Amino acid sequence: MRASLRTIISLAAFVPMAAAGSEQDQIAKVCKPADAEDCIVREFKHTLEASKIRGRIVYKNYCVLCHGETGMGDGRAAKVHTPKPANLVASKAPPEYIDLIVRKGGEGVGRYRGMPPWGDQLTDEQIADVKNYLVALRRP
Amino acid sequence: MNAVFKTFALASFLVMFAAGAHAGETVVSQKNKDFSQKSLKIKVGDSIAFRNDDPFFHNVFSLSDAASFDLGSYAQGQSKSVTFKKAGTVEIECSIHPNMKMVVEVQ
Repeated sequence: MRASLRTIISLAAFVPMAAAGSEQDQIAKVCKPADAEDCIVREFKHTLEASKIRGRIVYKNYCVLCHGETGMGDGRAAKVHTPKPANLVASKAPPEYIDLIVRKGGEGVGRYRGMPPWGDQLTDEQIADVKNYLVALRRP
Repeated sequence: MNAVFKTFALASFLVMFAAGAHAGETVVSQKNKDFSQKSLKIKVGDSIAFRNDDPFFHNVFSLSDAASFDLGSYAQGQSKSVTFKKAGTVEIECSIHPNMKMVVEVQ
């Protein structure tokens, strides 16, 4: 339900951009708020918006355990990690670094070993999607 | 001769008793993204060696009150042990494969 609300808000943000004829404009024209996420993933699967939606699903399945629902690093498994899992909302890591640490894990990039390597578990598309979702999750 | 036999028998018994008093270790394999045992009963002080028999990483952990730990990620052929020091129910998971779960009853 929260995801749907977020999508509706996102779609509402597309409306002022309609005049520009952007990708987001096309999405807003084709996809109705009621099934916006399914529509975007289905009809606009190569767009950043679709990638972020898929990335959120990857995040909820694999990352939320440590990094928490909102990415603050307060997932239910955070208590067994010292240092605590990264606050992804406050992260300033470049996207290339996200790609690397997701694939190789913390130990693989010379950091805390609590972050597992996901390169064997996730596809290239899933890693790209979760990277796009994490970048969108950031707050200034 | 009889005394020697009795001494030998007593020594053998003591060795066997001492071995029995030691804490045990059970090997639980991770294979095909699953634990080889879904449930296990052990005694306080016993250990479980979690052995990765898959060609990819596993990361076994527990958040239970009776045992809270994270073994980190480890590759095929590697094994990591945990000693259970407190009685209770311990739910064990893998952080890389969310469907992997097992329960250990520590008595």
